[in-house]
Amino acid sequence: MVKILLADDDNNFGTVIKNELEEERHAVDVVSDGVEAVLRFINTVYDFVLLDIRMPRLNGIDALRIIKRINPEVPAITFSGKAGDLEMAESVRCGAIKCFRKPFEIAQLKNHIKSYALK
Amino acid sequence: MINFVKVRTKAFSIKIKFTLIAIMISLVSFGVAAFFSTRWLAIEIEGDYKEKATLIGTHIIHDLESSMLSRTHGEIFTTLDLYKSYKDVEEVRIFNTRSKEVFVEGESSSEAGVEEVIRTGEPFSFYKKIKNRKATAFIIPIRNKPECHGCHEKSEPLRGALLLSLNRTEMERYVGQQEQRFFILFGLIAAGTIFTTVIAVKRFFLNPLTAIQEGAEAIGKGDFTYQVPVGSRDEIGNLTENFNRMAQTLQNSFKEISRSQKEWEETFDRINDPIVVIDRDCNILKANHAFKETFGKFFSSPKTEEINKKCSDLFGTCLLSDCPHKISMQDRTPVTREIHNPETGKIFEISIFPYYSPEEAFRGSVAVMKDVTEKKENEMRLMMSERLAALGEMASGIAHEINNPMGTIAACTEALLNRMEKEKIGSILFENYLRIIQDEINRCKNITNSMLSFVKKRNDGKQDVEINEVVDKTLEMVNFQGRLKDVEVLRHYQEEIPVIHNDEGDLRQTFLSIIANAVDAMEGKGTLTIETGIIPSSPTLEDAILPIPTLEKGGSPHGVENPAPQGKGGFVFIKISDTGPGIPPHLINRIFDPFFTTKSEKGGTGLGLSIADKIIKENNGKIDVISEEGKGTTFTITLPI
Repeated sequence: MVKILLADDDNNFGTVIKNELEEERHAVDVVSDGVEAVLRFINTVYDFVLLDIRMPRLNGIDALRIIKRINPEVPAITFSGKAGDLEMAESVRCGAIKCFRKPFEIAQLKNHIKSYALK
Repeated sequence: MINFVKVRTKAFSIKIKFTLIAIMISLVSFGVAAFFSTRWLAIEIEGDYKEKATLIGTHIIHDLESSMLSRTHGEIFTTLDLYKSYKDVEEVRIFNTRSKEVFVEGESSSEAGVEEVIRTGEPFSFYKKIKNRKATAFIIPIRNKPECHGCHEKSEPLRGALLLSLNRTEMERYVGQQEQRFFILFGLIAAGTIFTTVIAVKRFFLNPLTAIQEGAEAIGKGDFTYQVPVGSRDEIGNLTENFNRMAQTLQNSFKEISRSQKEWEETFDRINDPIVVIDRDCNILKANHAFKETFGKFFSSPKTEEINKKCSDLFGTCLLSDCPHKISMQDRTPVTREIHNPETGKIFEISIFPYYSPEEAFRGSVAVMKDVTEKKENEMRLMMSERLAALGEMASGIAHEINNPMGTIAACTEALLNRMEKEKIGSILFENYLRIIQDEINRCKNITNSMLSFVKKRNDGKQDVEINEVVDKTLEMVNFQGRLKDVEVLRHYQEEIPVIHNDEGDLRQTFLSIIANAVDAMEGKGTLTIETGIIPSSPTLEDAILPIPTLEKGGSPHGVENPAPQGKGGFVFIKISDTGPGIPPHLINRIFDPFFTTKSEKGGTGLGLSIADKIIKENNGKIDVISEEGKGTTFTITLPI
């Protein structure tokens, strides 16, 4: 059971991912921008962070940087529909395990989380 | 051709004048000479005659005295008879101191004049006619000499008088003859003088002058090569030489003029742009080679010099109210227009330059035509490529944009399949997910629709468009590109903004260029303010009060203000302001230049603003820019309603 923080400005996407991850008995908190994500991360301990790159107010990469400052160990995965290759690579350089381009298979996401949980 | 005035030959020529003068002078002078010569001759001969009489008289008196002294009075009659028989002697009569004739047989008659001579003692002569013959009577006093004192009184001075009459006929005949001779001689001399004078004058004066006159006639007819032969080395010869030199100079001048004209014509013909010179009524006065080539088929014979077409035969512009020729004549300024020639399908940029005489009278216009068909095509292509470039940018943005809905749809379908496999699907969730899928599909539809609607060809047609809508659509597009995510967009739209008649695609492209520039300048962060409004109608835009965004104090706003367009129904304006770093003063004048870009590394074409500017100008509007470094930039687009 992993406590996951999910940040994405696309509500529908957030809803679906939350449902599916909760199906795997994970606990998912959904926020819709980077600022919220950081604030939540400060107040709560999360085991995993999922960040959409293109978000209003604070984008996923900057949020990731801050989060990594707070807890360098926390695993993070980024994804995006609109971001370019550079940004995706940057997010990995900032500490994301992987960056998915939408649309991607949820199964893969689940596997990554699962393999983390086993550690 | 230059027309020379023909000199009329006088009917009363110099030759005749001179001849008459020569004749008159000769006759008068020789006549006078003859007259005086004959007079003097007559006087001489008369003198001789008188001398002769005196001589004969003296002899008679001598003989008389001899006879008297020898007292042989009888001899005296014989002597007298002897002398009477002399040639020309008409009378020999002796008169005594009492004026009575002596030594005469028969009657003695008196003679007038004798008394006078006796009294005065001076000789006397007079005319008389004897037997119808002309004669001169000489009365000679006989002196009382000492030898006579033996018989005659000592105290008397005279013894008597002698009357001697001599015939004049012979003498007069002689004089007449001499006179005749003189006149004939002088007449001949006069004639000879006249003749030679006339010939000499003819040779030395009239002929050279005639030659010069012929030369003048020849030149008058245009033969400048005529040279008058120089006959002498005097003043006339000089004149002839000078005349020839003058003709030569004339010929050189003429050649020079011809050459200049040729040069001008060659230059005229060598210019590649068709040029015509037209008069007030649009008649073509002169056309260069390029013109004849381009529009050749409209002239029956391209080779002829005469062109009797009007420019309206080639272009239908005379029927238009804004025929550039009419306007240029009216305004007395050059006018440039684009004209489409339907037959050749070409587009020309025609520039008309009116020219005036020194008295400000309209003389004609020079019309220069530039074939801008290719240029226009290139412009279209550039515009299209700019659009395509923008489109490309947009397309990638949109492609990415679609990824999001696709992501959600993929997640939903994957989840549904998964759950169906595991037979763990609730109907509520199922419905939810399907609705989400629908939702996302709609989003995709919107995106693709927007993209498609943005890809409109130029000149799709002007319609009535509402500016606010167009701006919103453009903002939507920019948003799709993700460029507005950190940008605060403030919209102050004029409600109930009047519609304007424009091509929506063009307007969108214009707004897109400016908004994209604004967003790029702000590097994706800042405030984008868009304001729309109305400017009420005024004759020119400058008369209206154009609201200018107030920038904070301390700055020095500068900008580019384009010339005012015409607009009778008022204007709408669209102001796009950003909070970027502003445009530096040394660059602000170039922003509308084609290919001017500061973003070449990021793939900027530099065409966006120049095309926007062109579009707005073609719609009789204008774009103004105000920028302050550190504060921001505002573009104001104004369009007539």
